Amino acid sequence: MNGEYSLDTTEGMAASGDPPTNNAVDDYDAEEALERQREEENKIKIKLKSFEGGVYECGLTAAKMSVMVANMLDALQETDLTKIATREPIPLQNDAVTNKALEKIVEWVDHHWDDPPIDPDFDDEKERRNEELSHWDKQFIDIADQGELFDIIAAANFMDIKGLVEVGAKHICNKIKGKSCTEVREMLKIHNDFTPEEEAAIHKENEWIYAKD
Amino acid sequence: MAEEDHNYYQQMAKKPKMSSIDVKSTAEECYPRDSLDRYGDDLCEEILSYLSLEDCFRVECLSKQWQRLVFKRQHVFDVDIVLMEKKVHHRGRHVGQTIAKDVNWRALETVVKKCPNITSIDMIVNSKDTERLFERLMNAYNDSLTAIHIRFMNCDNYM
Repeated sequence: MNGEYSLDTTEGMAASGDPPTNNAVDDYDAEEALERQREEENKIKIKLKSFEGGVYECGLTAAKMSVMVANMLDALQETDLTKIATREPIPLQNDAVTNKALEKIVEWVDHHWDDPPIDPDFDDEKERRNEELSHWDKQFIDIADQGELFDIIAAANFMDIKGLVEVGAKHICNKIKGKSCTEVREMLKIHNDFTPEEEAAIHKENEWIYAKD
Repeated sequence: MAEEDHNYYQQMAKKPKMSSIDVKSTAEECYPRDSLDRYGDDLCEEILSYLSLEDCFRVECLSKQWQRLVFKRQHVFDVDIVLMEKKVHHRGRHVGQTIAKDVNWRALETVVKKCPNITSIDMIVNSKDTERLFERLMNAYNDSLTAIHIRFMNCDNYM
């Protein structure tokens, strides 16, 4: 029905005899149609299974934000997408994908499913990287239990959800900002594997950066 | 059908399509859950790529993994970080923003040594050292540079 409607509009424009506008309308319609299709597909719920066995439901478009899940679904070559919903849950076999982590990941993709896709080759890459996290993302990623936070980022990396890895990375880097070496090491529980001499040598090379404070 | 699905997914999961999966060796498994040491190099590099160049120098000394990764994805060199405020009192008047800055040459050499992947340079022309600075930077990054952003400052102490 939607298809018929957009076809009518295009014909109406064509009758007015303006080919360039006609093309523009075609592009616009194609975009609209794709958006509507994504919206429809997201109403189809698929099941994801954590490493611990917990099963979580997620919209199809949202789930496809995970390149790994998208590839698995593509490989099924299922033309009738509604059948995907009746399939067995997709197991995510990495120990970072705990129940808690997967629950949060599903929450994130459900909120972000209609984001424009990230294109790393695109010009605004630098701009995007420097962009501050949205209020929603900040609240989402502000997790008291650091083990859980690291699970979510590792799980998002395993599932290849670039946007969520970026949110996690920015959050960690925001926390590092302005802290001393010792504070960061304590916070992120990083084991110092330098000898005192090696560490002193690095400090000496970099002392000018501390002098800027 | 269900059985088939399961087997299929199992097989798919064993064939990772991306390179950035952390393969955990037995040695890595002993790291605590809440320690960033648990991450492999790929993910750690990705996270550290969001640090500012200045922060990179602050945290290089954290561990050998960090030292190895922290500068890898630093592509922009804002020359301001190796400039020092000149300790001049211009007739007792605070000259603020327009004061000329000296290049800390030792710091510049440290940046050049540690950051091999610079593709873009941001610099302010406000010092008598500008020419020499420019020459050194072109020498270091001639093959990889794709952009230089230069701001000209109207500077009281320009000589």
